[in-house]
Amino acid sequence: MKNKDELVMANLVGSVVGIDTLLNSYFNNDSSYVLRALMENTADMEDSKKMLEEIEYNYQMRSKTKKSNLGTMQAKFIKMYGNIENIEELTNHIITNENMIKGKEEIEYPALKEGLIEAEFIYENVNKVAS
Amino acid sequence: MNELNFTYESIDSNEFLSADLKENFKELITVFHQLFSKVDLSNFNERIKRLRIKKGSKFFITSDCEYNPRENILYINEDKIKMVDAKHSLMMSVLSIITAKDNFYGFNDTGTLEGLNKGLTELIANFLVGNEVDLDEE
Repeated sequence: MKNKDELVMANLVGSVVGIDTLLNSYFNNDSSYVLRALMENTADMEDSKKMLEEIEYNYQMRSKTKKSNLGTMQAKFIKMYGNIENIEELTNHIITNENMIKGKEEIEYPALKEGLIEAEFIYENVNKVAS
Repeated sequence: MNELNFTYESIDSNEFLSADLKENFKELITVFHQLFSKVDLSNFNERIKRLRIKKGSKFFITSDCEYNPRENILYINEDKIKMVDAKHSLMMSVLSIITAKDNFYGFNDTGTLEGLNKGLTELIANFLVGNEVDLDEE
């Protein structure tokens, strides 16, 4: 898939801001809907801007270096926005394919497992709070 | 599908597109409209009348095809287009045309959200027409 990283990140962003917000932003040519919704879901508003910058940097650099930062981005995203309501959906969207972690794509996706580790950590804490 | 008659007329009025391509555009815009009936197509209707398709340099057109909103030209990378699901790629182009504004499309209004914008376009195109090449890979 040509835009795998971007597709994963769009799914993750959609899970936090809601797919309607994402589509409104897209069809109305206005990124502020997405940015505002992301900021509402995190303690530090600057972090949301940095997250979007990181997605863009990964997109621009991957075409040149063929190296992806998807794993680290997934982990960071889940750490920033994961909560009891959305953690299951976020986990469904992250890529943790074992073949990609151990196989020929290991070099391209060096930190792919980080997202899953972060999600598992939040899961554990959610369960502790729930019990 | 009366609402789309005007769109079909706009596609037919383009003198640069072949009959086959016009049919492809009609098919894809129909699929789009069935699921996103509230999205305004006036931008698409205007742009499709004068849309041109050109072969792009493989050094500049790094994707299989790229729509340039300012020029209203769809650039094709001939080497790459053979390796992808053309229907999926053309649907991504249709989405780019629908949401084109000035020199960007979608929500990339600040010029810093190209990647996320591409991801969402891919996501919507997958939802509308799937992606046969990805299925083959799996």
